[in-house]
Amino acid sequence: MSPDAMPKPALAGPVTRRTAWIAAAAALVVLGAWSLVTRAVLAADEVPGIPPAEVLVGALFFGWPHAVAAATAVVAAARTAVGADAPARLLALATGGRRGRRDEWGAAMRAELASITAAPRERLRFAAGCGLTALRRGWGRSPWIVAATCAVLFAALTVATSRASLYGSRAGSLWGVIYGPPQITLLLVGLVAAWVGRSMRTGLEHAVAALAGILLGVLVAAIPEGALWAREAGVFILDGDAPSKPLTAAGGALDALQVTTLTWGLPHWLPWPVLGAGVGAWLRWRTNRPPRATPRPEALGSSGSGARQ
Amino acid sequence: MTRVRRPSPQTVAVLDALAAKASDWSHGYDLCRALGLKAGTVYPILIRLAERGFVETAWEQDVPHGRPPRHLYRLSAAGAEQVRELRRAEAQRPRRSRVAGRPAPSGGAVAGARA
Repeated sequence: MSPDAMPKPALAGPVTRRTAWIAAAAALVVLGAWSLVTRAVLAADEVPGIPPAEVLVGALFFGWPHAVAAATAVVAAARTAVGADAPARLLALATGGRRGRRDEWGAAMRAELASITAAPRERLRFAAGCGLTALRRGWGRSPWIVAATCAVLFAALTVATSRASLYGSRAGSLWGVIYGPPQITLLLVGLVAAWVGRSMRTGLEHAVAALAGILLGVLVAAIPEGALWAREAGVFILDGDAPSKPLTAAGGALDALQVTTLTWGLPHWLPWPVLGAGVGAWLRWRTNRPPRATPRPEALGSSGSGARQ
Repeated sequence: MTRVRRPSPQTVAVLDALAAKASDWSHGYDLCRALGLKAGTVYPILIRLAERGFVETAWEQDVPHGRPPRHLYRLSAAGAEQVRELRRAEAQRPRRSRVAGRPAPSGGAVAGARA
């Protein structure tokens, strides 16, 4: 028997016209959802007579990252989920894009599934078990380091800007922390990790870890700071606005929690791990792609069947 | 004397199945079927045992046309020693189950841990 030298199954599939249409449809659905959310928010704020065109502009302004991320996710999933049937595609999606030993175990599971000629249900059960194993396997140490670093940095940033504003202009501080810096951080983390790891999945894992760290860091700092703003100034930490009724410390803390998790924070951060990882993987592919003379996978006439595995 | 940490019954079952085949190679799916365990149970165990050096892995060489080579598993020397250690530890344990207070099932020390 040979030493454990792994065969290299081809996982990358072409982007077909059908995939492109599904990606475009996903982007449109997301933009439609953002239009509904924008209308609902404006109605809740009792802003009268907003024309539909302006609602659409608002949805485009805030929703374009989500739309692009949805399209990117569809294309990435279609390129990874290559297989002869649903179990094979499911397992390819769960195990694809990994590096080193984790890639090797993914290849082992896919090869084992390819040898199972039992009923489709048995194949699906095996693929689901292996897929869960692949997803549960540890991400390694570096995403945890990224998460911890982001948590500490964003907690410090939140406290520093809060105190500077509270004992200065009192114009509010949280909006400047949770809208902008997290998006840029997530984009960069995803991009660099995907570039260095040569895999969109690696970029995604690091950027998702960064997102968790940012959320934790902001919340840990913003909730007590929100209470402090309510006690010291009687206004919201987000933007320094005074409420119609006197603000309690609990109300200030709750507002900081809400704007971070429900309105201005997390919902606007979600697409950026996908965008960063997608851009990083695309840039890496652009840099490393073979010269023109080499036929590209699309030119080989394959429709992405699992036989290539 | 070093205390051997007792692995889970499923891990013991996988070790037992690999030990039964001595130097022959096993496939992941065949282990699942033989032990009646799901792939989501067997593969994490195989991965962990391989990382600890208890299981050797290799890729199939004579592959029929049209399918990729399968991954193969067998006990390493360290794995065989681990099985012997488990059997010794099992033989020294009281003949009553710690959990339910019931008599331990008969059979080999490693096989008995499967119950």
